[in-house]
Amino acid sequence: MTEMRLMTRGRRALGMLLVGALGLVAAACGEGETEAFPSETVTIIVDRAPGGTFDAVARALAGPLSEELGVDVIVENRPPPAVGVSVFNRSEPDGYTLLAFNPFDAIGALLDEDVDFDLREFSYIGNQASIALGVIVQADSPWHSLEDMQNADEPLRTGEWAGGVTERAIHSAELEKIGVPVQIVRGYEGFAPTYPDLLSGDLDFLMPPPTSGDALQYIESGDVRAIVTFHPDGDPVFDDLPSIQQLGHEDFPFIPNTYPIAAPPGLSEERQAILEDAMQAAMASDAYQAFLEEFGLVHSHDPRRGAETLELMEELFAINEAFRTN
Amino acid sequence: MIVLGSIVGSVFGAMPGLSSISAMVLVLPFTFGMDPRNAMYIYAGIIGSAGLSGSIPAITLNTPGTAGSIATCFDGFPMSQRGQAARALSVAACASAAGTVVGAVVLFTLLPAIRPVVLLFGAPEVFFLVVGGIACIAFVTEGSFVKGLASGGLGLLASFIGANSAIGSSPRFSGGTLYLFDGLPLVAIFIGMFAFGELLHYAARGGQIAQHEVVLGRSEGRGQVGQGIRDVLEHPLLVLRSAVIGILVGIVPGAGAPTASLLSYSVGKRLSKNASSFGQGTPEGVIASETANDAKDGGALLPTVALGVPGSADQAVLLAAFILHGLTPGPLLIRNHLDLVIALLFGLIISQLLTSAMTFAGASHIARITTIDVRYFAPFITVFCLIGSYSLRNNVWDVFTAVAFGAIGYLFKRYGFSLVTFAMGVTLGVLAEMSFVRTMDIGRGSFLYVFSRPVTLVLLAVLALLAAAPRLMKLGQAKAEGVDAEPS
Repeated sequence: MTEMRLMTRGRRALGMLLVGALGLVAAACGEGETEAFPSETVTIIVDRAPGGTFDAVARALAGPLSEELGVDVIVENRPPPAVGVSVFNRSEPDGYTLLAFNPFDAIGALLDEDVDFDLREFSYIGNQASIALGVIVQADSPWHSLEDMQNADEPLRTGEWAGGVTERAIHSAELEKIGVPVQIVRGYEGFAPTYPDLLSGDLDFLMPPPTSGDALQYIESGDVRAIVTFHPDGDPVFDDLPSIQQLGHEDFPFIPNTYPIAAPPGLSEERQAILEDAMQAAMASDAYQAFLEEFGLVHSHDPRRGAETLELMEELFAINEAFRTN
Repeated sequence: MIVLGSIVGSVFGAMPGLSSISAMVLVLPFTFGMDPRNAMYIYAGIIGSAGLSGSIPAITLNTPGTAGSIATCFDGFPMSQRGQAARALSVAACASAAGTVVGAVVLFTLLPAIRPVVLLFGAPEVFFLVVGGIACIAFVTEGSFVKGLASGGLGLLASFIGANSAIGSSPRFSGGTLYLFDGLPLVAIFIGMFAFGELLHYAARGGQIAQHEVVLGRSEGRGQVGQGIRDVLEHPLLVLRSAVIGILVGIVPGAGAPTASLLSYSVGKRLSKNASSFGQGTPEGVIASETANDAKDGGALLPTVALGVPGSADQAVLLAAFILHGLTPGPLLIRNHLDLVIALLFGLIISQLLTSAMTFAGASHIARITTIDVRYFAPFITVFCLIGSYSLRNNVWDVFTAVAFGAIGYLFKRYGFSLVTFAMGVTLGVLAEMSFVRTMDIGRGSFLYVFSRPVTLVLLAVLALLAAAPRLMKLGQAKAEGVDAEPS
């Protein structure tokens, strides 16, 4: 009998221990859930090699974002684009891995390749900039207006550094539709190497954002002239630069260069909100604004929140898909 | 700041897989708050020191520390095997210093007319420069000519893997894998074929790298260092020619350091009176490679500062640094911030001289590694190479690539195929394709316009001279002997 009691007591004690242990585990789990976010280093993956505009823009954001979040924010380059986005997509959606990327590359990879990501499913934190493109020509070029270009005797050459359907490929096709004969010159490694060919006369025109760093500098130095902007509202810097839509081509699409920041699909709403708030504050910081000023991006500043950025991505996706089916 | 940059650059340059690019990306956040001039000193220190530091493992261990030191392996390592590692290091230090100084002087001289010079090199010029390099495969083949050509052809095929803007967005020969989307990583290939290949070779054979009994005492070491300096001074024409090649390749965006050193090595061999000694451990090979590798930095700075077009991958990071300091490289940079450009040049020269001085001072100590049984340090080198391969793009598949090319490199050596021509093919293939497509597109489908471009014609003439050089040299020699013989 005593033995039975002892056994019962022993079982009770064991039971209490188990309950206690479970309680501790539950408490630990609860602590995990309410753990302050962020408490570790946040990594922004850039799907390009160091040195380009996407890299520079992400790095300019990293410092102010680090101050807002109270943890280190580092930039990690993971080229090439399809690989970088794929690596990001496989990361935990814990808010510690973000992505700065060119949506057109990701859309192209999604439509052309067998990739494991869909940029429409990403958890968007925000957008940094939306830059309108336009047409620039060498200062001595015989073309002074869109009309001159429409009357060109032979195809006008413009440089392309990315394969597939890009903003420039779509714009080239649209220019052809309105009567500008275009020949795309391939084989460039990035945007910058097209400038020497424009200046030497090997290319007839380029389609950069006329108001961003390099193009703006060439315009200010008198080496190149801007002919037209693709922004329906005209150019924010050059008042006299006509908008292609205002010149009677209302259907000409406005496809901006965008600079979104995303987290992998499945990020919790709470963490997404923290990151969105921090990104908005970072983009409003003096340091970031100074960068925009110096890089000529003030007028392209487009600080969208996550939901608006997703809408923008869906628009770009639809434009790309429509171009391919037509 | 220059010293700090030089130390960082030396460490990163000497580690296989790490490079000046990794070093510059690492220091980028720390320079944000600095005065732009001090930041430029750090970057110049890194760029100036990494090239020569990369040649240290290339010479002593056949492991290129950076892609640009690939051609230094070809003769530097055989010199080490002959017990002349200190001499080879001294040659590299002296040639690098000469290359940097010539490159910087040319850049400084061309500052007022920098843009017209850069604009002379369009797609057709790049195409002929690269085709010249590919043609050089025939000149640098050692041993079986057929095997040399086959190796070069395999290198070309390997270079065509992946996508590039000349062929569109769909990659070739990638087997549907994302890993090969952007092609094979050059540095992982080089680490694999040269470092792992050599380690496997030694694992099979055992022993030390220096195959001769070497006593590297203080006087012997000094003697080798002095001999190395004399080797460079005795070849002023080779130094000048290699520097010019380095500068020209530097001006071409995207061509990069391996193209500079491989082209210079090939031309050096073609025009040398001792062509057969190339690949066997001749100082001339080290001079050709190292001078061009470092002169390239000056050339690459031309398009970087004048047009905002990076002449090499590390200068793309330099561009980012300019931008993050509120400076946009391009036509207004030289006009508004000439002091920064001069600071860069100054930093480049000082850093190179510092690194060369350190190499002279440490050459005989560094050379001792060639007298130690490979078994003792092979595991460390293997680990460094694995880390280096991974750190290129933080991709574990790059490690597998390096290991796979290690096995290929071992088989190449064993069956007499040429690592040199393979390296040339894999470096130049895509560059040739892209410049050709660009040339044709610019000509709206016609190639004839290239013959109306003066630089293209000069390059064609140089290529023709290069092809005929040995015959012309023989004729000249025979004539001279004939003249000498006549009086008797």
